[in-house]
Amino acid sequence: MGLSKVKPVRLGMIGCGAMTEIAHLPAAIRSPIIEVTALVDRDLDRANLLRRMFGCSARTAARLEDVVETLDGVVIVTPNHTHRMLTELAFEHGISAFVQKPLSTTYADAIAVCELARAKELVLTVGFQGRHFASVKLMKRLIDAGFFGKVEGFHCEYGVRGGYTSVSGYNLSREQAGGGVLVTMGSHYLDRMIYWFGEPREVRYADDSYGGVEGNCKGQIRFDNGIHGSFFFSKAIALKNKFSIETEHYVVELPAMETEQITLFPRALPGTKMQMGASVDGGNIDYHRVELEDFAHSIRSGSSPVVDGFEGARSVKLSEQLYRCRTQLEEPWAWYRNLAMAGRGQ
Amino acid sequence: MNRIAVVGASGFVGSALCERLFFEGINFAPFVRGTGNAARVSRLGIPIRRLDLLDSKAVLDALTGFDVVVNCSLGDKAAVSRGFHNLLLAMERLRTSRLIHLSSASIYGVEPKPDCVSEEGSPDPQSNQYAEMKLRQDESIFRLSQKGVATYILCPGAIVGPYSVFSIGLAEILRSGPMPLVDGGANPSNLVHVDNLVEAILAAARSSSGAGERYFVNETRPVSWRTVLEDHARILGIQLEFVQVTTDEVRPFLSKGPRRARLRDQGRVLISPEFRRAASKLAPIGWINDLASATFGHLPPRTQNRIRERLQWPISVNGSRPALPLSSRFVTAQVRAYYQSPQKLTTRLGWTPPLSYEAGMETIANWFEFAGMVDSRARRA
Repeated sequence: MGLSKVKPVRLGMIGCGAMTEIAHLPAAIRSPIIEVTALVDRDLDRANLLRRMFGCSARTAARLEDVVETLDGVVIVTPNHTHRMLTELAFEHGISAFVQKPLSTTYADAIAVCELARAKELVLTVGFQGRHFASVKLMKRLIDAGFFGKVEGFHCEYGVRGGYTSVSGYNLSREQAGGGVLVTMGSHYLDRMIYWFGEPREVRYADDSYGGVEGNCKGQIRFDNGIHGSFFFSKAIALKNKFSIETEHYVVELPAMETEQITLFPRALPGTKMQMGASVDGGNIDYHRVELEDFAHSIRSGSSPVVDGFEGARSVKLSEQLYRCRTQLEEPWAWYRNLAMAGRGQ
Repeated sequence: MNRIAVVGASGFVGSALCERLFFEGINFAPFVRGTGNAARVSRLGIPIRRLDLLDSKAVLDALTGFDVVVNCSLGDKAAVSRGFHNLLLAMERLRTSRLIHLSSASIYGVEPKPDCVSEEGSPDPQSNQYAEMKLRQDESIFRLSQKGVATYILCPGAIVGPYSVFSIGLAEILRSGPMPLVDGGANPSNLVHVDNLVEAILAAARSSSGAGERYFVNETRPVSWRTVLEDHARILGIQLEFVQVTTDEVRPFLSKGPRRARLRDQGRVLISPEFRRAASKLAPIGWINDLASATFGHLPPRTQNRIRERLQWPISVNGSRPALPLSSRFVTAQVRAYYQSPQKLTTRLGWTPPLSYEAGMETIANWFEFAGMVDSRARRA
């Protein structure tokens, strides 16, 4: 029997900030297999506002404990430092959890909630929307099948000037966000690197933080299989926003938000560009809905979600590895900074 | 130096000012409207305060205890009118000792009159909405200065430097093809490096005289457009091709007011897949979109095609080469024939720019390289 024939999976949105408003809530409402039964936010006015905006019949509450009986699963889209606590709270009540990336601010926290999910036999999935993109899955299949020949290296960059304003402002705080652009934007791409290339072995990393959350960061990663590449993430500069992968037979490009196709430049045919797609319907897929429906399917069937907790924890581990070896990013144009550093003997 | 409030700290100038104050160890507080654009300030590890200028009580509370307020705020119409009014009202009530406000050289118009060479010349925004708004703000500030607040109005031209949207845009147009050069590129560029503008703000904050005045902020000598364009091309590693044009050829493109989108243009936006895809993420619009799509799908194919044809953009077939971008701001700005000297800033406020034109270009070159806008091999060559 198809899922649409059975009762919808009852989900609660925990955190009614900007992401819930623009992405998760509308996607959940559009899904025939999901029923949004609760909107929870410490700021109850905000929860009520979203209920009115979307005309949904969900209950609103300031605390998850007040609506547990209405839920099969929760979608946790709150400041990162609350992820572990809220996930554990949901698990205590036998409720599965979808956690918007990153799973937590530390790897230890991530593993703790993964173990708890396993012990309680509940679903834990991490909101890495890109993992559901047909293009990202196709890339993985082609790499694993050896289609490109040997993968020689890669460069990934993603940068936008500004970005969305979080309602809580958590992204300005290292304690609440767990980091700066490396975590808030970069974790999507770190996750893809791990998915495609395997386990990271050596890392180098520099960012522009002076005690706050970094706005620019650059790094290099060597994976166990010898693949080596670099990245650049920025919240202050509009970058090219793509993966470029150098392989034996092709230069392969995948724009960050390209959901369906990858572009190949064959080395044997200079000046030639090829596009390869995975999906037959040509895109226009609501991937927020796809990831929420994947979560709902897992709750119903007990199957593993596309990105389970342990899988989602890998990028948290990599972020920690990168931060541990952090150096100060050079800013040769900032003469006043350099004067100040010289004055402080640094 | 006394305690400084930077209002609009997440903007381009506000961020550069905060970085300078931070590294010089000066006591300041950054205020931002939203957090999305605050990356350069949030890295500094200092508390960032959120402030909605439209909330008059919040403005009053926020600015209590500051001696100097630097207004770098921009924003929508409400923010620059009502929000700005709230800011001035708070300063008046708090008896804040000093306001430094960023105005713009654009208040003298896109094609200024000869008396624009002096701050005492008559501003004439020539129906440019941004310039009109800036001039209205200036007038309010002059009124505030009569009530005992020391005010300093700084009028930079276009601001260049690391992270500058103007510098990035200039790089993009230079990359895009032949560059129109107006009247041989002889006119002064009136560009100012952001670090020199920040120094002007600090000079105003330190100065014990010169309040109640307007000041140009510019290079200490005229730098021609030809020089600016050639230098940018050089640091980007671009082979520059100029196309000579005259002021008369560019004059029809001088924007003296906003061009309103016509009804048909708006219709095209509404039916565009990009708009519908974005709007459909809002559930109610998503349903309307689904309904419209389903209805359209039931129409006979010929009718569908007719509707599509009516709403298609005209297909333009270019000749041998694309049209020159004469309406670009980087071309229309070349029409300004007068150099607005910062002499008054130097003599009255003791401003000394930390960067020469050449040193400023070096910072831009370094930043372009950092931002991946120039191939480092090309630069070394």
